[in-house]
Amino acid sequence: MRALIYELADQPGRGALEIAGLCLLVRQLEWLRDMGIEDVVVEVATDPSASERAALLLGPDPLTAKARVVPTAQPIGLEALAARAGLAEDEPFLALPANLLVRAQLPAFEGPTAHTVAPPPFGGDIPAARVVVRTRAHDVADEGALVPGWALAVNDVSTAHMLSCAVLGGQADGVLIHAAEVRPGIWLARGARVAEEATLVPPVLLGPEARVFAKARLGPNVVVGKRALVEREVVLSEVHVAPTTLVGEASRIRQAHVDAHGLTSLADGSRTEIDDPLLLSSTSYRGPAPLARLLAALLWLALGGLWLLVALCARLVGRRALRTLRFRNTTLHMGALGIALLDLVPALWDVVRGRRDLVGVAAESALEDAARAPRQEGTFAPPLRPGAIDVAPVLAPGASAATLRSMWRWYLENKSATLDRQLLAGRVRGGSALPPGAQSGP
Amino acid sequence: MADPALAVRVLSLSGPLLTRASVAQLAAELATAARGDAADDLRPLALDCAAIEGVTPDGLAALLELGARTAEAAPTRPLALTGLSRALTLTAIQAELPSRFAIYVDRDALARARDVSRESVCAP
Repeated sequence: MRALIYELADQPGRGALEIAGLCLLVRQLEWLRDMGIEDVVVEVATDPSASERAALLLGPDPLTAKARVVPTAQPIGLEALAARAGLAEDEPFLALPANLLVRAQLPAFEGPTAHTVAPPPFGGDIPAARVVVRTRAHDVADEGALVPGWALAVNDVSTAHMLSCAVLGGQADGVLIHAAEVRPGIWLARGARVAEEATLVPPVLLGPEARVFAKARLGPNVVVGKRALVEREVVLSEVHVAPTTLVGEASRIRQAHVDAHGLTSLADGSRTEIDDPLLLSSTSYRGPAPLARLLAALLWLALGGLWLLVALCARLVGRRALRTLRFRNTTLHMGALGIALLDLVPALWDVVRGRRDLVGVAAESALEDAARAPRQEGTFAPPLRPGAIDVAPVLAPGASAATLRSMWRWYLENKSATLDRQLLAGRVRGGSALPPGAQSGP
Repeated sequence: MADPALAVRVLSLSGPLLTRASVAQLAAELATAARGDAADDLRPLALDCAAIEGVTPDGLAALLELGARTAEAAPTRPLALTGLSRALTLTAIQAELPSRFAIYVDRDALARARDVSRESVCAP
């Protein structure tokens, strides 16, 4: 028996929502494994979290070893997904919507059949869910018999947090917490650390390698994601902190989902973007590597005198040598002389100051686009990191704006010192004469 | 390399590395195939990537461009990809290949699904 986890038409990406430290997709795979189903086909529709879900499904975790991924541009529907997965017309499969968490024991099934699963014993007025075994040719219309257990459709961060709290409170049977309960209601995952002077009010879950500093007060109902960092004197209650988020010193947050870029209210779903790294930022990126900064400083010293001379001459004839660009919470410098090598100098200064990478996306139009774009809609996901030396000429030579945008996305997902070295070598060999600001952006 | 047994015409990509040059060669093959007989022109086209183990950045960009050109030229008959390895599937998702190609798990899936292979793969 195979299972198909399919995306819902108007809400792709629900599988990335976190339930007590693990994403919904993993919780679904755990349940299917418990049901004896390891041959699972998962639809991954394009959305800001698609790469994250794909990396999880296609990574080394034994839970996902037999999972097969069907990438789609947008949800294509169950029949089309079954076809793309290669299921025969009469082959039965369990159809599981990507937003449904089930903890029920289904009876053995041989052919098309439906089951009704009751709502969970918490969370108020929630409708029962249907779990269907069907074939490509034959859908099941009836409601089916009621089976023991519960199921819940998780459609937003608010429901996910409610469910997480129920799990921590021992109300949601069958959902494991991958952490140790060090005190009643206080769960610490592997590598999580709490300062002695911090106060935790149960229920609280700290994810792997999360850190809580002194005088912070967390709880009740707080989940801190993997490698997140909660600074001194922070006060959190009814909060979910997304993985790798840094919550700045003395922040006070209540009833919200917090990520590196802002807050989403758990009460009404409203979103507030925050562009202040002292309040919120990411722990996964700490600026350019020391070696890159050193190299940029050397290049800047070598070229700075010449740039100054040419800039003065340009000034005398009424031309600008420098432009600035407001990029999120910082100001970037862009050369405007029209001479590739010299226009690199102001950008190198940004690298020395730790405001952009040595190699990366440097096209002014792309940076302007990314600065304007609402990040939650995933124009660039992960968030675009500006660079001084543009990789576009070697990443997608002569490509259209749409292709370039896709390639930037791929590049940002795979950015590493090795890849940057390869691209830089290609750039040097290719010798594009265009200055960073002159490449066409999306 | 078209497979006459399938309603879908399949071209196999030679591996192990997909480069800009190999995509250019593929584009030439597709252009030749498009000049075949009229009945062939109506059959959906698919690229079998089973032999591909890796892809260079410019090869990936060239593949995206090829997908865009094909989808623009024949919106009701987009190219399909099949036989992607796990690593290539991840690359495909990161580079948004599904917006240019319909992706099937293997050749059998493609053969069984010929009734749905004409669906549009382009985002609205």
